[in-house]
Amino acid sequence: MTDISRHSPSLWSRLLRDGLAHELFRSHIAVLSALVVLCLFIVAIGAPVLAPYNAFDPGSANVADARLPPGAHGLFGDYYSLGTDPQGRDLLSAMMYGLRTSLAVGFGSVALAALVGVTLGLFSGYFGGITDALIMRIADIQLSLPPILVALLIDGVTLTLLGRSQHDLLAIPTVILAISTSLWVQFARTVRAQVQVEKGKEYILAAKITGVGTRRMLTSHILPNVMAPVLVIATVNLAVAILVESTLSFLGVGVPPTQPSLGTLVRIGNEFLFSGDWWMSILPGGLLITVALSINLLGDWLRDRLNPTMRTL
Amino acid sequence: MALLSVQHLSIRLSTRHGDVSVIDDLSFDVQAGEILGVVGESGAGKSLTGMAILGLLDPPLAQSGGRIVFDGGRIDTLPPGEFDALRGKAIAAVFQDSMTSLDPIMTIGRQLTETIIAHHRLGRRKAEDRAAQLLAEVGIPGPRERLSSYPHQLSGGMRQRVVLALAFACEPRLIIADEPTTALDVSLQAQIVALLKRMASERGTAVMFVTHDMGLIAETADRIAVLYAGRLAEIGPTSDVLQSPQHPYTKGLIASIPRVNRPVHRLFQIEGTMPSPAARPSGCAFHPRCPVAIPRCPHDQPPLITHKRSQAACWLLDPSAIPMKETLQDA
Amino acid sequence: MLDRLEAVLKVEDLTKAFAGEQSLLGRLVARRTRVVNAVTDVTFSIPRGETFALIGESGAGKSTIARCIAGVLAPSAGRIMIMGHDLASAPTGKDAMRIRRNLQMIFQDPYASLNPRWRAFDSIAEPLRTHRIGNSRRAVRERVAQMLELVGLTPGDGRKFPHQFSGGQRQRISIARALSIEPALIIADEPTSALDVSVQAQILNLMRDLQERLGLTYLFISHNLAVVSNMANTTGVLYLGRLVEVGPTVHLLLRPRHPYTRLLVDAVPDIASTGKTHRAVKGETPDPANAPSGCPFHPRCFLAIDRCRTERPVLRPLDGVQVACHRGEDMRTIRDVPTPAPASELTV
Repeated sequence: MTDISRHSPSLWSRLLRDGLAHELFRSHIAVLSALVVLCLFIVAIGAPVLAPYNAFDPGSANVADARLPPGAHGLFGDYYSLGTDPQGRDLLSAMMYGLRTSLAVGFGSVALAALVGVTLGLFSGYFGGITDALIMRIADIQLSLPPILVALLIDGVTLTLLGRSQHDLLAIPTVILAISTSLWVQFARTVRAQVQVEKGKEYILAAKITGVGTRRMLTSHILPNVMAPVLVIATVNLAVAILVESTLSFLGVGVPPTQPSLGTLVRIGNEFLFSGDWWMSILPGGLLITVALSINLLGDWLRDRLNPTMRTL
Repeated sequence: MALLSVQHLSIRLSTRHGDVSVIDDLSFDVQAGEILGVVGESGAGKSLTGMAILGLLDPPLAQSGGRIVFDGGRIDTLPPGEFDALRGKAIAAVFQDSMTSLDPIMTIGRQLTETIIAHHRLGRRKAEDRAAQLLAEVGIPGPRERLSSYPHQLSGGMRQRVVLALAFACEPRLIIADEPTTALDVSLQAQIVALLKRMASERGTAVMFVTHDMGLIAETADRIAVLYAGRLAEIGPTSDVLQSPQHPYTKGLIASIPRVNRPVHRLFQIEGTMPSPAARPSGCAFHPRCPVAIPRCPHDQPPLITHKRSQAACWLLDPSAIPMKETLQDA
Repeated sequence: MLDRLEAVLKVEDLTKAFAGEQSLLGRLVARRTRVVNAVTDVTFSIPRGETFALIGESGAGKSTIARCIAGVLAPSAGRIMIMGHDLASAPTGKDAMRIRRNLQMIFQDPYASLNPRWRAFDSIAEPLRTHRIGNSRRAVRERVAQMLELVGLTPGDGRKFPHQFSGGQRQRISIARALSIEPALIIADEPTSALDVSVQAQILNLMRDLQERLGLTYLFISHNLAVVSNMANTTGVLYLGRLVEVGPTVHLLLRPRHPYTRLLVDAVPDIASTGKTHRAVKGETPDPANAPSGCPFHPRCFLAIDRCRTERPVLRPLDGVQVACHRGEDMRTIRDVPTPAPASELTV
């Protein structure tokens, strides 16, 4: 019993070997949220195929059919299962495409933040000294700025520099950049702490004595051992990124109106909320909540299960 | 009557794949005032035994059989509230890591006086006197001033002395000491162990000394119990067990210990390693590694067989178990 | 190429000082930074094929010396020559690699000595890859298999991960890794301190066997005198960063000429000393930052005189060893450390 591994094996080997999948099925909430997330993914990826109408094609929107309630038929017999928005777009299709945009931005931000954060965390933790001090001070400054504000700033700057049409073309990468600037810090800090722990271990010392070069040391020796928490942080931050993007879009400074995300839809529909046309903001808003909640629950479950201190024989 | 009587104790560990028996049918006694050394290698179950006696087994570990009787009364079935009163007062513990045994944000004086007041109902002034007395007894210089020190201000050796003082503060009848000196330097180990032995004999306190260090136990214990794979392999007076061990595992273990003034070219080694509880061999748990195993060993678990003043769980001690040579007539 | 009696490792006046802990403000205000001498003027050498042991308690400086020799900590003063080459003169580049080719280390903690995400094969192959030994994948595979068998494991074990092995087996893998590039010198830093007694016997025997077969040279660092007594030809005793006695192990442990050595030997519990209590050491090792004046051991010494408080003794030859003590001659009158009774052997 004293030989219980103090290092958890990789996620994949645990998933397949140790029956992490088995554990998944034992928690109802985890199963439910996993299923929901899976469905959302399928819908988002398959939107061009699955959606009844192409929401991004202005031609498919029929202004005459604007603000129809769910289940209504349009002037030309088109069926709108969830109704239409103020521009006559089928809400269901708009939501599916919106989900696609939201998830794309969410993933993109987290991926970029992880890339930057993990790299900086590696350098910071391994080299210490000035490098560490510098990176950590930048991180501290970053943290003191609220993400929305940073995003607004970056967005405003690009708008001014590039002009509206150019800005719209680059809007999505800009939003991704804006959101990731506030997310990278958590990756960097966590990885840095983990690197400091691993750095003191004898297997790293053995590699140094052998004469292993710095690059190989960082990429092959240390990196695999500090990646474990990254997955959990990424999952949790995915929901955060999506919500930040929605807020930005709601405020009108996120994705351009030609490629609406769920946040954009909520904004558009909001104006008509009190005139009784509830479906235009409530439905996209509900989908947004579902996305964030299920990702969070899955992330929570993952974090608990990957915690090495909870593993026994 | 023995002060502590462990009778057929079994402890199980619940895992995803089912229950694993980590301690199997363990029985031994601790007499009042004696020092019993419980010796074994990692995974033998010696720490678990101490935990069970102290009522500190948490899920997924649980006692699955047997009884623990202290001072005539059964304690393994006591409700937690009553056990708390017992623990610390009649049965105290000394653990390996002094840094985590002491509360880091309380002065050692306060930790001592709180314990003394809780168990002896003395006034604060008298309790402080007692605490200073104890610190002096464990060899801490300037005991009165030290009462206001925090644990981190003391060296490792000093801290372990304070832990001893805490353990003895309530005049317990039994102390469970689990590897109390393993983390200390060799010269310190000798001091702390000598101190423990002296204080225990002055007060007539019994000590159950759990360790992997046979040499340490040689000088300290009255009797030795040797554990292997969750079972008792041998138990007897220290000099008997160390000088004429009966169990092949004990013999092999003693033979493989390097001795300072008897260097050898090649140390004796027992082949293989101790099995994990989940993979305990059938019959005698030691048989796959035993150089003198007989046909009966893999099939039947040997009971404790008495030999002079010791007992060992080995079929070789039972003349009827050893196969006789075929007689000429059967050839 | 190397004369049989030539030293594989030569350490001369090795000294390492660390800046004492101080706040930024303290460092700005103070005129001198507080310095802690972890290791001072350590000199010894190891001939080929022999084992030299460094014994000492915590704070003695053993780990610091090991790290300086291993080239991961820069000494403050002194020279370290491995096979005649000074690592400090070539800290990086091809020359450094050439020196490092002759040096490997095995460590105390078997659980932290191997990369948990790497298979045993990769851990053992890493030194080969780093030094570009073995001109094909197959050559590397064969060598790793050879190493695994050498340490008592099977080639199939190469595919397993560290957590699938016991502590003793992990130490074997560490030894295989260290041997893969056939280094001249292996530093063993408490290699068996974290292992059970029976596993320790296996590993020590393995190390001996390998030394005899392959002509290895060991620097063996330990606090365990019994282990050292069975493994080392020559031993040096460290106290607060200085060598207080150096000489053939047999002499040192049977007829020590330094009081500290004597006390260390006496403090070792032996299984034959049932019921006896021996002379225990007074006090604890002081903090290196507050080393006593004169001889650093004098506050705890049973032979201390006034001179010990004021004048620090230097190493001088006496009765076959080197000892740093003013009263070394008086140690002769203390009766020899007794040879205890033999333990019963397993009779088959």
